[in-house]
Amino acid sequence: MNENIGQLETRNDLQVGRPVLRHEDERLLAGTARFVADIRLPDMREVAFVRSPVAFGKLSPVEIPADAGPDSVWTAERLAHRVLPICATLNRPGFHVTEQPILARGKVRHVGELIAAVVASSRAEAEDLAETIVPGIESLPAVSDPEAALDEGAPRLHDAWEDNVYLSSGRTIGPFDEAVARAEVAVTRDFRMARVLPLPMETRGCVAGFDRGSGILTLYLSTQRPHLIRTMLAEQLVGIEESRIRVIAPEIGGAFGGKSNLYPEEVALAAMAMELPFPIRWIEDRYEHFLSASQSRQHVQRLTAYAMRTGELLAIDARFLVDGGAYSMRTSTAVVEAGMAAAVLPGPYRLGAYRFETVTVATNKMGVGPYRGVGRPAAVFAMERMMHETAVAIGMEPHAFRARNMIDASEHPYVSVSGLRYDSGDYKTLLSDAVEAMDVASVRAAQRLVTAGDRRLIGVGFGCYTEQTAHGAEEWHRRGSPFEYGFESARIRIDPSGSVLVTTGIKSQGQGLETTLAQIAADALGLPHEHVHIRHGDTELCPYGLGTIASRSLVMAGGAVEGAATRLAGKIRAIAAANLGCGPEDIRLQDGTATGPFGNLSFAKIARIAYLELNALPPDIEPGLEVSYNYRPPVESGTYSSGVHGARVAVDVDTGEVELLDYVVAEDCGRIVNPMIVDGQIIGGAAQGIGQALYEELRYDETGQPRTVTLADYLIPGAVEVPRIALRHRETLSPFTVFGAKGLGEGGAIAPPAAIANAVSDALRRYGVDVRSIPIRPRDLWTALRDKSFAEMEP
Amino acid sequence: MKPSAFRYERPASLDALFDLLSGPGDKAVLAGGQSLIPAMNFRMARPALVVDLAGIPELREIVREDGAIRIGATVTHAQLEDGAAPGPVQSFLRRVAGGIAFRAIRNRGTIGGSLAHADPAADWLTALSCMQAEVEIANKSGRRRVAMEAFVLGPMTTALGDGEIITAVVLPDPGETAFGWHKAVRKSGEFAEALAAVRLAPDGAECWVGAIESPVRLPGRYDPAALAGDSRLGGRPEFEAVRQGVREMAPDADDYAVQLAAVAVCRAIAEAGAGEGAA
Repeated sequence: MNENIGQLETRNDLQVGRPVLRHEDERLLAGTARFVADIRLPDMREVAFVRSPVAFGKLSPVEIPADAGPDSVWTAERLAHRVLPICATLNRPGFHVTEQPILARGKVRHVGELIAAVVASSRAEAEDLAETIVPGIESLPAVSDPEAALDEGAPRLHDAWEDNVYLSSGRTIGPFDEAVARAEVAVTRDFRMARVLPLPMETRGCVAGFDRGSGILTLYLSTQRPHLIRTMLAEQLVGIEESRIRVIAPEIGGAFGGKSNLYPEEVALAAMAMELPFPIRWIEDRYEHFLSASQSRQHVQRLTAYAMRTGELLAIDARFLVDGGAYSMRTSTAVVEAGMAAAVLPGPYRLGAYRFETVTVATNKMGVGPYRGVGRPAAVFAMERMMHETAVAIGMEPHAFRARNMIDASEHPYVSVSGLRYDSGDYKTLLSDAVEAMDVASVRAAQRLVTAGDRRLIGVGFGCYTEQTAHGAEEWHRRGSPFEYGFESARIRIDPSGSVLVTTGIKSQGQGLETTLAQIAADALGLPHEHVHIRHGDTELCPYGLGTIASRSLVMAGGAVEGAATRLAGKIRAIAAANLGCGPEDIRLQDGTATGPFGNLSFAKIARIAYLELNALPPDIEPGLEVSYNYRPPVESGTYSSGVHGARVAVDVDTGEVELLDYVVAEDCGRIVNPMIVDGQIIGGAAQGIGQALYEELRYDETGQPRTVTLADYLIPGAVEVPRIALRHRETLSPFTVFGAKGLGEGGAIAPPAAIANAVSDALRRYGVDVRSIPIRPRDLWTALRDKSFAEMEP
Repeated sequence: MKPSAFRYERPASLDALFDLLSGPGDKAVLAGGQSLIPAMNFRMARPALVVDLAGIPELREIVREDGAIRIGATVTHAQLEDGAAPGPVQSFLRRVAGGIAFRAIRNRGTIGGSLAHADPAADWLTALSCMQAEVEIANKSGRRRVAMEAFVLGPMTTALGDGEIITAVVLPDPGETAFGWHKAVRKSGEFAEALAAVRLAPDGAECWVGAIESPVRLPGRYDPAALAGDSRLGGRPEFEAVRQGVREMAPDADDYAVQLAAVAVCRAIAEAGAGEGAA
C-alpha cells in the first residue's frame, strides 16, 4: 500500500515528483557495475593484515620472518616516516583526543587493531605469511563494559588521560526544578541499547597505486566522502601534496555511515603504495568487517519524565552513557552519538524544561562512528518509551498523550528546548495518519478480551521523530566539527553534440542520486531526465564536495545542480535569443529545444555555436556551455523531516518471541523528488531499524573479545522478518531549501526500535512487563514474564 | 578468510576414495561443504587433502529396499525438500529438509554431511533419530549399519572411525505413524535454538529433542489429546511433565532452553495430531 495523502499537485511538465525508473539500475541488475573488488590493475598484489588478537596489551616491535620477501611485511617502524597517526579532533572544551596509530606501536587497544600489513600475489598467500607473524603482546586487563570503564580502578586506555572519558557534558534548560516540583507524575526508566554496525552488503575495500612518472597516488576506495578522504590523506601522509592524490569511489554497495570515516587501512595502503613499484589492494572480508569497521549506538540511559495528570509533559531528565570504543574515528569522533542523542531527544514535543548529561567512555572495543540515524534511534527510543510509559502512568492513551504535547504545524519555525530550529512539519497529522493505519481502536477491543490463558498477546506502539537534515556550516561549527559540511557542488556541461554531463562532489552509494539529480537538472534545463548523465565519486573529474552523510545529498547537491542548471539555462536562452531575434525572456526551454516567437534551436545547435561556431555567438557571451555552482543553504540550521512509525506485534508468552504483524511509516520529507526512491529509502531504513529492534547486537566478553564475528552470530532481518511496510506521505515544504525538499536517507532507521518496543510493552501491559533494552530478546521477555501474573483488570 | 593450501581430489568410486583416505596426512571429506568450507576459510580446519564425494554416483542414489528407503549420503537437502525420497517418509522428509537454512545452502548441503558433522542444532540429527534411521558406514573392508542413537556420540562426535565415511541413511517403513516437527529459531534460516520431533505411537507421543543438546529421547510418552493446542505460560500439569522430561534429559540446559524445547515438543505433538507432518 502506498497512499499519497495530500501530495502536492504535480505540474504536468515537471519531472521532479515522478517515480521515474532509476538510471543506475540497469548496470546493477545486469551485473556490469564495477565495485572496488572489480578493479584490476596490472601486476596488482594483495594485502592481508596482522591484527591484534587481544583487546589490550603491550606490543613488542614486530619481528619480520627471516624468509619474508623485502616488500612483503610492513610494520609501524617501516611506515613511520610516511604516515602520521589519526587524531580526530572536536572543538569542544574537555574533549580528549586519541592518537590512533596506522599500525599499532607500543600498545594495542582493541581486537582487530592493525599490527602489520603483508603483501603477496594472492590474498591466500598473504594470509599464509600473515599467520607466521606472531606479535609479541603482553596482555593487560581490558575493559569492555561502559559502566565498568567509569570505575575508579578501571584499566585506563590512554596514558595521557586521567580517566576513560572522551567527553562529558550536560545542561539544564528552562525552569527544570520548578517543573519537577510541580509534576504530579514522575516516571523513571533505565534503558540499554546494544552496539550494532552499519553492515553494508559490500564490505570496505581499497586499491592503491602510485605512478612514479607523474607522482600521482590513486586510490580506488569504497567511501562516502572521496574529496574529504583525499584532504585527510594529504594530512596523514608525509611527502605528497593533495593535488597529487586522486580518490575514486566506484560503485558502492551500501555504506550507511560505515564508510564515512578515514580508516587506518586506507592510510596504510596509500603509504605502502607510495613505496612499492606495483599497485596493491585490500578487500575486507566479513570477519574483518566485524572486527574493524565502524560500530555504533551502545547506550546506557536513565530517563525521568515529569508530567501533570492532565497529560501535560513538563520536563525530561536524561543521562546518556555511550561506549565509544578505543579510538575516535576521523572525523565524527567517539562523541558523535551522545551529542546528537542529547540534542534531538525532545523531538516533536513542546517541552518546557530539559536536563541532560552525556558521557562517552573509552573501552577496549572497536570505535563507534555514524550509522544511519546517528544518535537519533537511541534518543527516539528513550523519548518515545518515556512518552509511552508516562501515558500509561497517567492513564492516557499513549498516542493521545503524544498529540497533547506535540508542536503545532502553525508554530513553525519553532526553536526546540535544546535549541534546534524546526523549519516546518505537521507532526500531529502524521501521528493521526499512523494511528489510523494501525487501527488502534481494534487493538484495544481485542486486548479487552485477553485472558490469563492466552498465549499470543497483541500490542500497538508508536515512535515519533524529527530529523535535522542538510544542516550547513553554522550547525557543524556549533557542534565543534573541524570540518563544516557547509556546501555542495555541481558542474554541468553541455557538450558540442548536445549531451549533458553533470559532475558533483557528493557520492551516491545506493540512494539513486544519479536519477534524482538528473530529474532536478532536467526540469531546470528543459530536457528529458534520461538525457542527463550524472557522474560522481572521482576527485579529478568532479568538483570538491563534502560527500554523502547526514541526509544532505538531495537537498545540498540538489541545490547545487538546480543552481548550476538554472544558470546554464540562462546562457542557453541568451545564445538562442541572439540567434532567433528575440529577447532571452521570450525563449522557452523544453525537450532539449529553445523556442522563441520566430523559430527554435536545438540544444545541440546552441552547443555547437557555443563551442565550434563562434561566428554565431555574440562576443559578450563567454564561449562554452559549462557552469559550476556551489550551493550553500541560506539557512544553515538544517531542514527538518519528520515521521511517525507504528507497529503492531504479537508476543508469544510461552517463548518470548515477537512477531511483527503490521508496520506503518507516516512521513514528511518535504518535496518528494522521486516517490519510488523515497519509498525505497524508507523501507530499507525501516528494515535496518527492525534489525536493531529485534535481532542485531554486537557482543563482547569481559576481556574485550568480540563474540559476534560472522553473520551466523550477528543476526540481521531477512525478507521473511520484514513485514509489508505501509507508507503514508505528507509534503510540508521547507521554506529554506530549493523547491522545499528535505533530507530523508536516515529517517526510516530512526523510529523502529521505539515503535516496536512500545508495541511489545503495550502487549505485555497486563503482565506489568515493559521493554528496557534493545534488541528485544525473546529470552529476556520470557524471563521477565515468568515471575509475573496476569492482571485481570486493566491496571 | 582464505583456506590454507590443500590438495583436492574427486574420486569417481568408493574404492578410489578409500585409497585416498588410507594415505598419510590430515584429510577432510567434502560432502556438501556447508560447514567444512567455512571452517577451512577461518583456518580452523586445515586439511592437507580434501576428498570430494561428489564424483561418486552411488552416494547420490535413493533406492527402496523392501519397505525401507535408502538415501545416499550426498543427496542434498534440496532434493529431499523437492520430494526425491518416495513412499511414506516423503512428506516428513520434505517438511524437515525445507526448514534447513536457506535454499542456497540446501542446494549444496547433504544429508550425510550433516550427520557426519553432528552439530546438535542440525535438523537431521533429531529428525532421523525420531524416524529410527540407521546410518550406513563403509570403509575399505566393508559396510556396517548403526542406529542413530549409537551413531551420534555427542556434540560434533560420531561413531565414524578413521578411513570411514557415511554411505547412506536407511529409513524403516513407518507404516501409518504420524510425525510432527517443530524448530524454534530466532529468524528464518538460522540454526535452531530448540528442535522437537515426535512420532505418534498408539500409546502416546514419543518425543526427541535436539539443539539444546545432541538429540535425546524424552523418557515418557505423552497424551496428544492432553497437550492439544497451545501450551500456555504458567504450567498445566501435562506441560510441566514435558518440561520435566526435557530437564531430566538435558540437565545442563538453562531454564529458557528447556522452556523452548518443551514448547517445541508440544507444538510438534500438535502438528503430528493435526496430520500435517503425517506420513
